[in-house]
Amino acid sequence: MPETPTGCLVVAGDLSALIDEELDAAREVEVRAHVDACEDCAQRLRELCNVDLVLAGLSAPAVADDLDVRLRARLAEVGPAATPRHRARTAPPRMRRRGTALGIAGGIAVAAAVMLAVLQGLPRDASEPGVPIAREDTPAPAARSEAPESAQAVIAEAPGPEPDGVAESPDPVPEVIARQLAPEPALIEVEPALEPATQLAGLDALPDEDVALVLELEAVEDLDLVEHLDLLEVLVDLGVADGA
Amino acid sequence: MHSLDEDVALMLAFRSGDVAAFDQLFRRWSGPLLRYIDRMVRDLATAEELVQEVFIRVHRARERYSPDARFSTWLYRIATNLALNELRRPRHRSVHRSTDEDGAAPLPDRAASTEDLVDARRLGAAAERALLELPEKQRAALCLTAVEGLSYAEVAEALEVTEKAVKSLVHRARSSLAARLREEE
Repeated sequence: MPETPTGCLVVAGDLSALIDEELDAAREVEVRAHVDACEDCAQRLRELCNVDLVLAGLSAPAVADDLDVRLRARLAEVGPAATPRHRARTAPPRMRRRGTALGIAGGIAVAAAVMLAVLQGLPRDASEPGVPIAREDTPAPAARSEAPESAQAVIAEAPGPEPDGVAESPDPVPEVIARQLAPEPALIEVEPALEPATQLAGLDALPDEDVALVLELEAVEDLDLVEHLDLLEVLVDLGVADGA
Repeated sequence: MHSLDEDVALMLAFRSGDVAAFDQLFRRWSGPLLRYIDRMVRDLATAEELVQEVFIRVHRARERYSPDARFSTWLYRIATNLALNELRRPRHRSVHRSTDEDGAAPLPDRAASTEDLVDARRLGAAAERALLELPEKQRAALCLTAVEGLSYAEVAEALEVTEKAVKSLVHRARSSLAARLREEE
């Protein structure tokens, strides 16, 4: 077993470990012995120790009183049960309007569908033949029944007392649950059930027939046009969405 | 430092559905995590966001949690990854908190001389600046070791490097700060 070198160069690499009490007992004895005999290494050790003292003296931020409240709100929003549709409607307006690459692609597809429907005069009733109803794409009933359960669980499991701001704000989950649990016909004949969503999304500024078209397309294409308000505005500008 | 049993017990209780246990873990660890992440990202608002993100991940992972390592090591690993990711975002590179505002060392007690007060403040500000200039992993290793009190083995796990690497990271970081403080004195 070769003897561990104890020259300054080697000891220097162990000084931090000496401070952190990370040397094994034998090595610690060697390093201490060297430091006791070497003023340069002793000075270096003092400087390294001083770093820890200065770091310990730096101010640390206090945890904000409402940090747990904000955490609870985020847990309710981004919890495992939060659906993309839910997130889109609870996000700040600017976020809702920001299109992702996927959203833009979806928007273009929807625009094409709208333009085709309007220009070719196809029936808007999704239950009629000719309208691509992708019922296979809709979530299975079992999956739907799980969503509200876990969504409520996320909220219920949020720790601590319910914050005022959260308690008083309308809970978006029931609306999501209601929409997802609605029987298939309701997804097509939706105007009454979807009215709150139109208010949330700002669609209520549009003519009724356009709102109906948007909601119908949402139901048929399983797309959330709330995320494509920019596109909708373009359609309105083009005179497509208002039937011109 | 909290005991191993208490934190693991709380997490296991949370896994079993005890919501209050999660609340307690948050109360115990939000402070140390905020201090650590703030040292890393040097932006309090971002640090607060990341602390929340750590606990969101804990919340999500509760059913998969198994006490293979110390709870604190697991937390700091999540926190480190989030902080390093944040530091690599372009928008963060321009974020620097002035050390004159709130990063400098707190003033010593009133019995200290004016010279001591000035020295302490200058050294604190210098340490803050030097800390910011360290490579990310050196900064993380030094903060976890010297401030948070983790062992090299725990830091190695948090940073996903070897213990030998941690020893080197910590020593280089400490030496850099020592050199900077020497210049200030």
